[in-house]
Formats: sequence, C-alpha cells, structure tokens
Amino acid sequence: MNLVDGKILDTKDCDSVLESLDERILETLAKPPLTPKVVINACDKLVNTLDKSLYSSALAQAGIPEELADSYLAMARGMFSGEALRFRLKKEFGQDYDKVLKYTPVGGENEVTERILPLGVLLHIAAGNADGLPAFSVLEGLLTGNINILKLPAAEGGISIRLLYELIQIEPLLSEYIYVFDYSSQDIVHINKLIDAADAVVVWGGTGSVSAFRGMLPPHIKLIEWGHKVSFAYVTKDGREDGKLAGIAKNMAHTSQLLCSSCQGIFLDTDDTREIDDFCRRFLPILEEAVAASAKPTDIGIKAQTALRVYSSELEKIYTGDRLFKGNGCSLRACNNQIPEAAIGFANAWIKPLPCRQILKALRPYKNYLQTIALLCGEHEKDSLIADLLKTGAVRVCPGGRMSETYSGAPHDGEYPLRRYTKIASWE
Amino acid sequence: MDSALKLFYHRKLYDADNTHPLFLKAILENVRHHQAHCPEYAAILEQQGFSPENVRTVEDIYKIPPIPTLFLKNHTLYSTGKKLMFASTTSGTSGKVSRMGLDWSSSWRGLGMILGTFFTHKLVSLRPTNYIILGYEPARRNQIGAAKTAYATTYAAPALHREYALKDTGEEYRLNLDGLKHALIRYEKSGHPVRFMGFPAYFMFLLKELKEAGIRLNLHPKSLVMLAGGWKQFFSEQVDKKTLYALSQEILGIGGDRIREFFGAVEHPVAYFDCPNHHFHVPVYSRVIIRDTDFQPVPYGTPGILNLLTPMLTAMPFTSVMTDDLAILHPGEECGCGIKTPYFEVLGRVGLADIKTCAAGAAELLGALKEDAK
Repeated sequence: MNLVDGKILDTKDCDSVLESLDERILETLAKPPLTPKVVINACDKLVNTLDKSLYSSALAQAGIPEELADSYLAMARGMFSGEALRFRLKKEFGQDYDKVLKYTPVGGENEVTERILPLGVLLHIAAGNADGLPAFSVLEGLLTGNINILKLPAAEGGISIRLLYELIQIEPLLSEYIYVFDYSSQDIVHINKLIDAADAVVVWGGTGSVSAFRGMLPPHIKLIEWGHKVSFAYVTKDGREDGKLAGIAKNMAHTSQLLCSSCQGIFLDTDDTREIDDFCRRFLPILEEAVAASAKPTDIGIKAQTALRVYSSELEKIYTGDRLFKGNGCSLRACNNQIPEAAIGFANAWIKPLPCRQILKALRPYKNYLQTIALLCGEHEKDSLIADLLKTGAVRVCPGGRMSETYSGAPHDGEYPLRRYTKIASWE
Repeated sequence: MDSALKLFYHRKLYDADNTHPLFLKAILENVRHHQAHCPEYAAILEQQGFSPENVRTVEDIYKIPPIPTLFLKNHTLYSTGKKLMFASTTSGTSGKVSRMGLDWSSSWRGLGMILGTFFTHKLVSLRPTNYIILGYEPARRNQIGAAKTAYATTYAAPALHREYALKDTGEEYRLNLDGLKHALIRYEKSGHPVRFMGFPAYFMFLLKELKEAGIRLNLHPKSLVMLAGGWKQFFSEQVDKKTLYALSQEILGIGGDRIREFFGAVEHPVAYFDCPNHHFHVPVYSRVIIRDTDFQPVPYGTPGILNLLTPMLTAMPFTSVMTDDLAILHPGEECGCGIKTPYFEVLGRVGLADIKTCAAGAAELLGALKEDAK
C-alpha cells in the first residue's frame, strides 16, 4: 500500500507521483512552515481516539499477542500524547526551541540570529522488527517540521499506513508532508529517486541495510542511522534475586528477544563454569514461567527455524563445550566465551561468565553494537558497575523488567532523535 | 558390490517396496562408515545417544540423528582424507555456504542415479541439442552447485552449442540478454531441439524479454525446459505455473508437457524430477521424513521440516540431512500418475520471509543486473 496526498494508492499509480515529486515538494516548501503545535494537536487527538480493537486485531494479524499489543498501544498513547510531545520538544531542544535566538557573539560587533529549522525532506527506511515503528519515525519527522517519505519494510502489516492515514484525517494540513511507498529494497531505481528528493535518509535496520545505504547514498546526502543493537543483562552474586531475575525472563519472553532493547543473554560476575551451570538450573524454571505466561509464536516457520537453531547449537557442543539446558518452550546455553551476541531468540538465551574486572576489556570491541544493559547487583557496587558498563559503549542501564520500556523524552541509542532531524540555521 | 552401489544401480527408480531391506543395509553401512571416518560425526552420534543397533527396520531410520544444513553452513565435515573429485557449494546469498564434495565411490553412485533418473524420465536423447543455460557460465573460480548441475545436465543430450544467461567475462558475470536472443533465433533456424536449464524466475524473465522484443519462435517439438523447482514462493516476481506454460507456448512453441522441474540440494545431491503431474516422488536412493518442531516424524499430509536421507555420499557424513525447508509428504497414490512412492511438496523456507535462498538471491541479482544493463 502507498499513501500520497492522504489517499491510498496502488503501486502502479505511484510512478506519476514520483515524476512530479520534486515539484510537489517545492510547492510544500513554498508554504508557511509546519508548526509543532499542529502536529502535537493531531497526535494528541489520534492517540486519544485510537480504536483499540482495530489496532489489536491488526497487530494480532502481524503475530503480536494481545497482551503485548495492549502494552504497545499504551506505550504509544504515553509517548504521543500532547503533554508528552511538548515535554519532549523542550527536553531535546531547550525551553525556547520555537523562538529565534538573537545575540551578539563574543568578540563580534553585529547581532546574529539563530533558529532551529527542519532539515527539509526526510526519507525513512524503516525496519520490520517493530510494528508501527515506521509511523513513529515519520511522527518524529513531522514534529520537527520535515516533509517525510517513508519506505515501508517488507514485513509491515499495514499498521503504519493506517496510523498515518488517520492522522491526516484528523489534520488534513499534514497530507502533503507524508508520503508512504512500499517499493522493495531491491527496487534500486525507485529508491534512488526517493533518495534524490531527500535532505537526509533515516535508516532503521541491521548492519546489512545500513551498509547498503552507506554505499548507495551520494556523499552530500546526510545519513541518519539507527542500526541494530544488542542488549543483555549483567548479574552479580548479590543481584541474584528471583524477583529481579523474573524481570529479565519476562523481557525475553514478551519481546521474543526481537527488539534492539531485548535481553539476549546474561553475563554473570564469575569465571567459574560450575556457577554458570548452577545459575542455568536456577534461571530456567523462572524463564519457563515467563514463557508460559506469554503468548507463544504460532507460525510454524518461526517455530521450525527456532527449533533448528537450538538443535544446531546443541550439536555445536562438540566444538565449543557449551552446555544446553532445555526447558519447556525455552532454552539456556551455558557458554565459555564472552561475546555479547544475538541469541537464537524466542526465549532461547545465553549465559556467559564475565568477572567484573574484565567488563571493559571483553565488551569494548562491541562498542558500537551495545544498547541496554539490565544490571542486577547489590547497592554497594551499583555506581561503579554502572560507570564501567557505560564505558563499554552501552547507552542505558536499567532493571531487567524495564529494558524494552521507554519513558517520555528518553534518548534513543544515546541521542536525542529530534535533534538529528533538524539544523541550526543562522543569519545576520 | 556394496549395498549402496547395488541400490544406486537398481533398475526401477520407484521400486521402494522391494528395496527397503537394501536401503536399510546401505544406510546403516553409510552411518558406520562416517562414524568410523569422521570424528565430529561420531561425536554427534554419541552426544545424541545413537548407535546403529537402534535401527532395526526401515521405519527406524528416523532415529539416525539428522544434521541440520544450518550446522553444515558453519562447519565442513569430511569422512575422508583423500582428494575429492570435485567440490560444490551453495550460492551463499546469506553470506554462508555449505560445502559438498564427491569422492570416487560417491561419484559412481551418482552416475547410477543420473542414468536411472534420466532414462526413467526420458530425459536422455541422442539428438544433437542446443542449450540455453539460465544461470552462471562455469568458471574455475565458481564453485556454485547450481552452475555445475546446469552444466552436467547438458550431457543428457549431445550439445551442439551452449549459451549462458550470466556470462563470465573473466572478472565478473554479465547479463547476456542479447546473446540469448541471437542464439535462440539461430537455434530455431538450425532445426535442432533446444534445452533450457535454470530457475523458473530466470525462464519467466527471458520469456517476458522476448515478448517485449517482439520475438516469437517455433522451436523443435522435442525441445525441453528443465527448471530447478521447489522454491517458488520466494521469488521477488512470483512465477505462476500456468502463466509460465502459456507464455512458453506462445513465445517458444514449447508447452507445459515439455517443461520439467527438478529439486535438489547441495547437502543431499539426489535428483528429484517431477512426474507428469509435476510432483517430486521419492526414488529408491533416498527416503524423506517430515518432522515437527520437536523433530518427531509426522504423518502424511502434515506440514513440517523436510529431512532427507540417502546413503549416497562417502566423503561427507550427509546420511540424514535436515533442510531448512518446510514440506508436506503425500502418499504416492494421491498423485494419480502411477508412481507408488510418496511425493513431497516444498512449502518454503523456515522462518521469516526475509531469509534468502539461492533462488531468491538469484532473482535479486537478476533485477540488479537488468537495471545495470539499461
């Protein structure tokens, strides 16, 4: 599905839109700029009138269990309410973000004027691992006054288009600021046309798609990357409380370990392999319980793939000496290495030894891949561990159960996203 | 003659009923051979608590621990220190490749299989034939299994000329559309049969290009199209069989009765050709087990993971290979073509749709090359 001028279009009708894209953009740019107020009011109205059943069923079709869908919707409501968005703009840009700043520079004679302005046109290349995320990326672009072209991921189930379509129904002014196309990533000719129209390309996705776009973009077009990241837990002796461990287990089971912020595995503060095995025996029933309480994947393709991966990793034992602890609908692999790798997923996690004095040395090589670390430890060691963990390149430390929850105004991958979609212009 | 060789030179391709004891003997000999010569395989059998004594009847062969192709993409297992006759790899679009090697004894078995399969399916012809190979031109640096299979099949009828869709320039592969068009026009005039080999997406692409160029041919009635099947649903441009047959009739004069599909995997080099009803029946050389996600065998008609077994290979322990394809096994009688052995239907790869196969990767390459050619 494609969305242009607030209308759903067939792909064959998009060619003529592409032909006239530059003119359309020029026309929009010639008009008075889009103000955050218009966008905030529309978003606020959207999240307050959101038809829950409609989205729940759309999310269910995309394989998202109802409970998780509800929490997504609640999170979306929280993040895109008027109050949250106003707070976020102030937090990211400062109190006077919508005003011009006039001052005489130090050592200068003439007054200068500065103002935060949109980049112009953003092309969003969205990833398919988080439903609705493509629309959120566009909302951030709108909030900063940009014209947004969204290339849908292959796996998008129509939720993003629906959200954006409804937003335009609420505020028709936004129609010319939103273009959605579902060209395939392999459709180089059309993608290049979209790139030509953009001031910046926002890429969500794995190393593969990020490097593909690095190769495709002409040097003068800004690339804003939100690459795939790895998150995990770090647990010391004093942090091993069942209640806290249940938070980690719940994150693994609920998110199926698919998100950048999902817990892939647990590093234990030890170098004793017996302790690792003992921990697996203790954690496995906790994970089983969390798995039993969440919806399981029903798609045979996913189940088969996961089963084959678990079985393959079991056979790997002949090389690695890893131990596999199989539970009901989940498994733990006790490993000897210290690599913060992506897990098999769907509650099949790794447990690895990492004495606290080795944290920096072991994790530093992965600095650009690390995102969230759940820290379970005693109060006395918390501050020094947080300091060490953040030196590895990770950007967030939190309790296990909070890993994939965000808060209003939170930075993303260590940055304020809205700032990346704007420029500071000056004139005198 | 060892049991496997007997099996591979058995004259009736689908005579499973009378070859169960032979198959059982051959597969157990094969397991013991690999257990003795491949330490990693022996370690896997031990880890899975398997001993050949566990298998008493042909129904027990599911107990032989299957090796997932996923595992083989990360590790190469050999049961021989001897030099291999030739090696083959998957095209590795996902960045990882499986390796397969044939030694002399496996090659003799393979030859028996090729002869049996090709004669049974009437694919062998003595008429001089021109070839259109919808794939890579073989090159010294190219170990892609698909290229070798395509080349090998050109021996089933004496080759007058071979034209390749992806031509080797010495440094890279170029899409050779003009070459194909000119060759086809020449082939029509020469009056000899033409054989096409390749993936369905390539064939469809060629037909559309010919149509666009206004080319219509009436090729020799003994012409044949051989397509690597089984992966249809993952092509970027879905190939609908009926449309394909109709277009082939219109553009080339070759109808559906002269279009054949085959299925094969590098890790399981048994050739499966489709019957007149376009089904892949299991020949005497192999057995097919469909497993659920706990790896237990499932009955006919139930979708599951495709597990292929053959005693063909001696150089690598690929006795029982678990593919990452989902498939359904049907009883032979359901087909109606007269062949009694079960047939399988490949549903697609496990996992999410973004997982690429050789064929889908090839379709992608084709798209990119087409753009370059413009």
